[in-house]
Amino acid sequence: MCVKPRSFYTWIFLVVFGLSGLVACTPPSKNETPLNLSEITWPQIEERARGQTVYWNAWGGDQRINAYIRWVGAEVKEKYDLTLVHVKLNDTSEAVARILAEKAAGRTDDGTVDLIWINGENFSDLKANNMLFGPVSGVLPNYQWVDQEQPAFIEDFTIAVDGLQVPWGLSILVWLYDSQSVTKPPQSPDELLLWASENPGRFTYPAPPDFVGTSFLKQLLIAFTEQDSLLTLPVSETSKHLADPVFEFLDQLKPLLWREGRTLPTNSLALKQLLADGEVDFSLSFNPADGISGVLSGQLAESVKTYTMKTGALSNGHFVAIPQNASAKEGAMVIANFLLSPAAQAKKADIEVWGDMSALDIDNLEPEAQALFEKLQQEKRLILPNQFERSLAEPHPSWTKYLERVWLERYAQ
Amino acid sequence: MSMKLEQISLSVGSQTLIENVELFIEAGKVTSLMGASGSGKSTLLSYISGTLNHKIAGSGRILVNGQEVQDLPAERRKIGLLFQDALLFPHLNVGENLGFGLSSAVEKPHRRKKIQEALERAQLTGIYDKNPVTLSGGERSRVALMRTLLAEPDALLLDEPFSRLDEQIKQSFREFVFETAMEKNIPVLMVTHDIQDTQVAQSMSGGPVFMLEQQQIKPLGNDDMTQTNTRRVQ
Amino acid sequence: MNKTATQLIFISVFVLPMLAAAGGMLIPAFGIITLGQWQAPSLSAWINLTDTPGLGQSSLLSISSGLVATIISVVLSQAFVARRYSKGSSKGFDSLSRFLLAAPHVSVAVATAFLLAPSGWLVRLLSPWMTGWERPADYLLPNDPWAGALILGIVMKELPFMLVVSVAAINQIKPKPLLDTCQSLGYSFAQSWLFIIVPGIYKRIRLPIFIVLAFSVGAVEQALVLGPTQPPTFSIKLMQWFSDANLSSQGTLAAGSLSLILLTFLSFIVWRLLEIVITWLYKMRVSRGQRQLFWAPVLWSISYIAGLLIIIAVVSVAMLSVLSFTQGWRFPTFLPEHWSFAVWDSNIVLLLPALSQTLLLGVTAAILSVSLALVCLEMGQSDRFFEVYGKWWLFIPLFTPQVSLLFGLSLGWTLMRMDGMWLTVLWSHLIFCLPYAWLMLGDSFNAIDSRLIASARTLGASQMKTFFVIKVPLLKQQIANALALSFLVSASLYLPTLFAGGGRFSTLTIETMALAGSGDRRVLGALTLVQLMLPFIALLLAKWLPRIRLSHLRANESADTAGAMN
Repeated sequence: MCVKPRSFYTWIFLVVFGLSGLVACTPPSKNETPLNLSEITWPQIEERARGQTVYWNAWGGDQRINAYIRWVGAEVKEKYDLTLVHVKLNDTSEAVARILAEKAAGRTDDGTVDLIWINGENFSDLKANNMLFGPVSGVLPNYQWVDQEQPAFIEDFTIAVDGLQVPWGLSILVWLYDSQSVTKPPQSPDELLLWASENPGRFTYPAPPDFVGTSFLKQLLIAFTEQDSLLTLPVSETSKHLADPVFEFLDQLKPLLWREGRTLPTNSLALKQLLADGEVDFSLSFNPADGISGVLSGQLAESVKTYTMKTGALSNGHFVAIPQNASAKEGAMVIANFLLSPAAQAKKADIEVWGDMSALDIDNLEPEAQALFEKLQQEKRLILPNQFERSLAEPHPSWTKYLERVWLERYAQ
Repeated sequence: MSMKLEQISLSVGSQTLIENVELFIEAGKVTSLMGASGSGKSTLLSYISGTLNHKIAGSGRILVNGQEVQDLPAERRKIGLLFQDALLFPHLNVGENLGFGLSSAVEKPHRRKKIQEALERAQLTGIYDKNPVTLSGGERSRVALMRTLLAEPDALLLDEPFSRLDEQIKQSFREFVFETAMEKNIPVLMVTHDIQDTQVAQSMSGGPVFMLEQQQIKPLGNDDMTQTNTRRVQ
Repeated sequence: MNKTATQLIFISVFVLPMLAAAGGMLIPAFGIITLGQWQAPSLSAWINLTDTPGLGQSSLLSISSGLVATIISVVLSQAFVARRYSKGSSKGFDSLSRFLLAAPHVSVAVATAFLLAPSGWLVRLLSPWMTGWERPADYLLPNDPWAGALILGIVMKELPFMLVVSVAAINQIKPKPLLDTCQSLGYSFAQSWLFIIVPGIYKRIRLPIFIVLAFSVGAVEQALVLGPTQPPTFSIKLMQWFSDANLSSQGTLAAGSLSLILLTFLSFIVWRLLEIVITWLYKMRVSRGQRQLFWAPVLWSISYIAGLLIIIAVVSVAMLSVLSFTQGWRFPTFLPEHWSFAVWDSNIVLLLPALSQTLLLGVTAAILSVSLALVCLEMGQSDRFFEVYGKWWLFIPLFTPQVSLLFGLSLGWTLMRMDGMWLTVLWSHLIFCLPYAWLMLGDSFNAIDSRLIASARTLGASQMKTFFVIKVPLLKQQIANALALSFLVSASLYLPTLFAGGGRFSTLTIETMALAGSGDRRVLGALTLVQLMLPFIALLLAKWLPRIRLSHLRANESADTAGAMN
């Protein structure tokens, strides 16, 4: 004979089942009317953005950048009543994969990504899939201050930007080295190979497809081909031999690498930690302030210095973009606009904050905005693009994929 | 008042414990049921009280004062059950244990008084706040009995209630239980394997003695009892 | 009707997700849905999968590292408990292993990495006076291609688990009379233990062993930090495909997820074969009557290794935490030169939100899973559904690789637009907390004297009153333990938080994993320290909370304080 059930189970039932029902049925918050950029004014956008929560998917591996994004979050909360959530990615392609998976699942609105920190092949993927909202750049009031003649902002990895992503800053691939063990840093790939053969096990690079790792390959490619114009076009059967010298070079380098190249650091931060621990003598970074800030924070030895090779340094722009299916497009636009404000850009350029090179044309700013940057320069807390040797433009994104694929086939098996 | 069992069958899987048993238990008397261990005596009590393990299948009617109770949950049958280990709730003190048995219809100001009365009745004054673990076996047994009686049951089931007690305490407690039960004038069914229990029950209350054997319940006459007694002694 | 209701809750919270996960893998894997379109079944996803270079090696790595780590954990734990039994239990070691058991996988993995690295403190300890290294040597640890570091990392976490379950098994066996008999027959203690007691323990810890095996084959946290990279283990390869928009289609990912489940099954089969071989060898030897003296040194040396490993693991976790208070620590100095709170100062803004999210999720998940487990157990006493089937459903998440399960689930979540919601994250946590809460409470719940319950019922208490007034207070200690355990399980979950939350919810574990492969090790140290405080506090609360009232009474002082945590 069974025990008779009591009303208590009804109660438990209501709580737990109701809970799961709630999970399944919570209606997604939606805007009443779809956003049409040609029919809306900026104040209206700001008005609609009020109270929104913006999920900004941005690489989260660097605490200093994360801290800067937190500062942005506090500012936009106060100024625009926006809640900014930093979704920390290990790799930007995670968010791209999510957006494309949402597209595949038919989720054309109410997506999970509102704003994404992006450039290069990830931008190219989203653009090719029509998953970018815009053009938005022209709508943003602060876009007028952007250095619009900067080639890196017109074409990103040779792909036309078309206002689909908003410039945020400029990067240059710099070398960090320990001047205590490296007296004369190599100025070309060949000198690097020579140095490595004299100092086996003291050099390595992040494993592609890590962003910096692949950039190292691209810099080699550009150096060996002396900026062949074929690099601006998609890889073809006739042009792919251009990459051969890169892999011949890597084959020679491999036995001279840290741990004989049997394992590589997962990204540039892991490489920086190796430099900090004295396991290697070089590190690579897209942030020219990395070395200085590392020394200031005590992570790196004071003997660590920053330079670029005479054969040139890969340089590119980095951007923010809004996916086509974003839930809080207005809020994302307000944040993108805030990021271009001289105050936000000057703070970002401060070596003690981040040290990222500004996207703005400083000479064209209003005097009080210029003063912000001048103050930084006087205090030696500013890095400007013209401080470095030849900057090299990015090749077509198909080269990125081609180099990564061949590299994986040759070295990752 | 009376309790009547009709066509009771109990089985575990394919094994039948009791088949089609009928039993009438008179009020004011202690009816004894004997039987070998594993014969299903205790299981029968579980069935009557409504606390049968779900793995055991039971059927048949239970009538308390003419009312069918077999489909009611245990707590609404008003059938008290007392075990060999006086099972007091270990996380409650003596007073709380007794209060657990007392009907919630009894209003707050009277509750403590009622419980104190019960304790006095069992000659247990002054242990209201005590932890059951600190009581002696005899004290525990009396508290358990009072707890059962405070619930004012319409019938009482005793499952080997004296088997764990010392000989001295056993006698006085046994008499106390039978006296109290007779006073309440409710039907009492006692399961035991101790012939002395049945003899005392019979002499004090005049209750009949039954034997559970081969899935059936049979009345035991005086001759049979002597026989059982000798068998035990051997 | 209300029993049906409880069944429905259980099904909706637990069974449905399992079915959805199965569907989310099977349907795309056979091409039935491609890019949102229904299609005829095809095997193209599997063909794509098998074309992937390095797949065979990844599979082999997963199976071999899982099996080896499990074998080592079992062997070490058996030697250790033998010694613990013969020399009397040591309180120090017991609490050390309980501490390790409660520490999140991530923390132990990161600590192991810092231990093994060429610039790690093991080398610092020996340098330069012994090694002669002024600069870190160039050797391949962690992330070695043979998965040695990965195996060590898994063992450090699974050894304490095996110890706890083995000790519980020994308490059930009560080995003294058996040992006395054997020794009086002229067998040494070591041989008696191995030949007579270990088979008895093994029978009782077989289920936990399979849980460990499944976990080791599909390990994610340890493999990300310590595992080989070129190629990585299968589960990491899957993780990489998830985040690569170009290389993969949903179908290939689904086929990959299913393959990982198959690999786990394959490792079960290998384990079963090992069992057969060892049983055969054992049967050959056991009745030959040989009194062999060499067992004692073998057993004791293994037990020393086990003890050493536990100490090393705890010390390296502690050293990692110490790192957060340093400012500059250049190789090869063994102790940091400068101390500072700078890392804490600059990261407190990162730690606090992550900590509060961890607490919020953990406490809610613990309360819900323990309540649900209690209700289901209560129902299980009168209903076969929960008694029999409930248990088997519960084991699914423990025997299935997390990556696979979550891939299957996330497809459903995306379709239902539920990903990125807090409640979805909570739900995903419940799936993993409930089994542990159930396992933790099950035995003691069913061990409550049924006559005590019968007394309460016949005294007029309803089932509900009996449940709340008798059963729950009686199980206070176990409920507190189960709450602590469920909380710790929730706090250590990485993949469920990541997948269900769409990366939006940052817990301590998520932050640690984001920094694990890179980043400033001092920040990792700070995160680890906060993460280690949680088990400390949880276990302490579990011990003291139930005593606040009625301190003189404990229903059932049981040995399983830390319980079965994996």
